[in-house]
Amino acid sequence: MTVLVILSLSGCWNYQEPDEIAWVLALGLDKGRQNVLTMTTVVAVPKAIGSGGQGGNGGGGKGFFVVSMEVNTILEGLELLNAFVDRRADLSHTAWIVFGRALAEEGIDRYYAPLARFRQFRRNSSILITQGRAADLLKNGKPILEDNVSKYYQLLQQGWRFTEFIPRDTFHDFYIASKTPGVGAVANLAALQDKDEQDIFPNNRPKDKGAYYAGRIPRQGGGRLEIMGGAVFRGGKMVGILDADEMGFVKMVRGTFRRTIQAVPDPKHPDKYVIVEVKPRTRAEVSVDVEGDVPHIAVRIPLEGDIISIQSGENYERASRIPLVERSVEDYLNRELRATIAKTQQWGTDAFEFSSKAQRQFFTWRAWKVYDWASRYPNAIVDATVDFRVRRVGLLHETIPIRE
Amino acid sequence: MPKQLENPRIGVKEAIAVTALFIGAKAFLSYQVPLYHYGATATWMIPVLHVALAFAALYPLLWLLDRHPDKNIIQIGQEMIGPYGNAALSAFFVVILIALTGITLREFGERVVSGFLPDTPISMAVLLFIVASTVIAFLGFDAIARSAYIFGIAIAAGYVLLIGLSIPFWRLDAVFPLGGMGAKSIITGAVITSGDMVEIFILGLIISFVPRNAIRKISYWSIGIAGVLLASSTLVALLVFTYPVVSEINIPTLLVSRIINIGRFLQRMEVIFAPVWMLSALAQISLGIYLISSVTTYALRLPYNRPFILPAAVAVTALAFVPNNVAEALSWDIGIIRRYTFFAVGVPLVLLYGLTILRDRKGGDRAEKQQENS
Repeated sequence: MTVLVILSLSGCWNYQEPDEIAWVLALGLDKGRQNVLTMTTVVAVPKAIGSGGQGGNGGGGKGFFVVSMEVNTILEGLELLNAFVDRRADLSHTAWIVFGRALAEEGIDRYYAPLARFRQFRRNSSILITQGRAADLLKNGKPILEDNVSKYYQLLQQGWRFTEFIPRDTFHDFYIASKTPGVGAVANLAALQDKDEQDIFPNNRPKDKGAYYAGRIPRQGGGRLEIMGGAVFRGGKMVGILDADEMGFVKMVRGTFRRTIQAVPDPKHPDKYVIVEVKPRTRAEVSVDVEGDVPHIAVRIPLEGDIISIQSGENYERASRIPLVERSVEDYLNRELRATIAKTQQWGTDAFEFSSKAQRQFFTWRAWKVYDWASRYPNAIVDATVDFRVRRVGLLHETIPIRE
Repeated sequence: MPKQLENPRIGVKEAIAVTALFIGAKAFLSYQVPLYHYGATATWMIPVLHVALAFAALYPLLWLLDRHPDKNIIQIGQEMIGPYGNAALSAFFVVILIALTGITLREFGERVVSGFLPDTPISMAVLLFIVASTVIAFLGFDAIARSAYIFGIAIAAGYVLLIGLSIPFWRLDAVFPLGGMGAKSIITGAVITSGDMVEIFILGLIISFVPRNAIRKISYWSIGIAGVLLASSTLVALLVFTYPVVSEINIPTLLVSRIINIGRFLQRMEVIFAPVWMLSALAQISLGIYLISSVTTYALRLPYNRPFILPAAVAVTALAFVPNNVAEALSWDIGIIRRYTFFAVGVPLVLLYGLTILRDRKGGDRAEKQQENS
C-alpha cells in the first residue's frame, strides 16, 4: 500500500479537471492564405454537450465552436489557440483530421506523419480529404441527431461497418500504408453537400448509388456533411478518387468489407432492377505470381447475399432461376471490379494492397525491396472474378403480378 | 556467512516469478527497438535465439553451481580466485547491476513522463520509483520475491489482456517475407543484442535464497516465461505496426495499448495497463538494488546487507540521471550496456568454470597418487 501511495504521487503534477481543457475534436488543414496553413479546430463546449440540448444548446452545432488560424505547423497552432481560448488545448480526443483537396494534391506527408510522434495524438483518429476547404467543411458540417459533435464524427465514420463506401482506414492504417513499400494509402473522402444539387448531374438517366461520392450526391435536406468514397494517395500526394462501388471493391479485397446493397439490371427486363444485399462469404483469395518481369495477380472474391427486391416481379426466387440473378450480379460486379483495378494501375498505386500477398513470394526483405512492386504494379496482369451466391430470398417465395 | 542473507528462503514459484520478471520486464521498455533493424519481418526469431543463447549459457553456470555446493557465484570466486580476484569480480558484477538497474529506472521514469504524466518532472518520476523500490528492497529478498509472485499474476493477466485486445489490429502478412533481413543479419543481431539475456546470471546469485535442488526447474521456467514474454511482445508489435513502421517506435508495448480501439467504449486502454508496467518496474528495480547490496555484502564477507541498500539506491539513481536525455539513455542501454554484455559477464564465469575443471583434475590426480602410494 505504501508503495502504491508513493507511486501515485507522481500524478500530482498533471492534475487537471476535464472541463478545464479545450478538447480539440477535429483539425482541419488547408493551404494558407497568410501563412503555410490555414488550421481549423473544432473545440468542444462541454457545458453545452452536457445540457443535452436543453435551452437550444444541443444539436445543430451548439456543442462546439470552430476557429481558423493561419499557422506554419499544426502544433504551433495548438499553442496559438490558447491566445483566445481560456483552456489548455488538447488533441487527445481528436476524432478527425481533415485536409482540403488542394493541399492533399500538393502533398500532406509533412503534416500528418509528424503527428505520430506527438503524445496527445492517437492513431485511431481518421484522416479525411474534403473536396473543398477543410475550414468550410468543419464550420458547416454540423450534427443534427447528436448533441455531441465528437460522437457525430465517430458514428459517421463507423458507417464503414454497414456501407461499402466508407473506408475503415484510420490514421494508423493510412500511416502504415504510406510507409510500406508499394502500398497505396486510402483516406475517407468527405464534402459539403452541393447547395445547387441540379448541377451535380445534367440529366435524369439511371445511376446507381455506386457511382456517387462525397459532394456528388443529389439530395435535399439533412446535414450538409457527406462521407462517401476514398481519396487515393501515392508518395504522400492525392492522385485520385474512388467512388462508392470502387471503394467497396477495395474493401472486399482488403478484407474490411461487411455489407452493401447492390441494384443490378434485371436479366429479363434491363430497364428494371433486382436488388440484392451483398456480404462477404469468406475473405478474398488473392494470389500473386512474381515469376518474370510482369506480376500476375489472381483475385477471387467469394460473396453471398439475399434478394431483397425484384422490381419486375419475375419469379427469380425459384431454385432453378436463382443462378440467373447470381450471374447478373457477378457480371455487374466483375465489370466494375476490373475497371477499378485498372484505375489504380493507371494511378500507379496499389490501393488494394495486393503487395501484402506478393511479398509472401520472397524469402528476404531485401529481395522484396529489390523487386520494386510499385514500379511493376501498373503493368501487372490481373485476373479478377467475383463469385456470388444467393442464400435467401427475403420474406416472399414468389411474386404475383399486379393486375392491370 | 552474512546472517541476514542466510535467512531468506523462498519457494520455487516465487523464485521463478522474480527471475522471470528480472529477465523479461524489459519487454515493457525498449527491448524490441534495436531488434527490428536486424530482423525486419522475421524479428520474432531474435528473442528465440536469445532464449537459445540463455539456455546454452545456463548449463556451464549450473555445472559450476553443482560443483560448489552451498555456494553462490561470489563465494565460488572467493574460493577459486582469492580475495583480490574476487573483489574485482564482485566489483564487475556490481557495476553491471548498477548499470542495468539505473538505466531501467531511467527508462521506466521516461516512460511514465512520455506516456502518462507529461507535466511531471523526470526527477520526481524517478525519485518516486526509487523510493518505492528501495522500501521493497529494504524489506528483504522474501518481500521482493513474494511481491514479484503476486505482481506476476497481475502482470500476466494484464499482458494477456493486452495481447488479446490487440488481435483485431494484427496484420498476419506482416511476418512475410519469412526470412526478414536474412539469416546472417538475424544471427548478427541476436549476438550483438545478447546482453538482453545477461540477467540470467542472477541465478548464480540468488542460488543462496532458493531451494538448491530446484535450481534447474527455476532456471528453465524463468527463462522460458521471460522468453515467451520477449518473443510475443516483439511479434505482436510487428503484427500491429508491420515493418518498417514498427522500427520507428521506441516503446512498442505502450503503442500497442494505445492502438486498442474496439467500439466507442473500449479505447484509451493504456491507463489500465499502466499498473502492469509499474509493477514490473518495481519488481525489477527492487531486485536490482537488493542484488547490488548482497553482492557487496558477500564480497566483503559482512554479516548484513541492509546498510548497503541505501547506497545501492543512491548509486542506481545517480546513474539514472547521467544520460542527458531519453535518446542518450536509450543509446547507453542499447549501444553500450546491452551490447556484448552477455559475453562480458560470461568471461569471468568461464574463468571460474575453467579453474574448477583444473582443480577437479588436480584433485583427481592427487587422489590417484595417494591411491598409488597407499
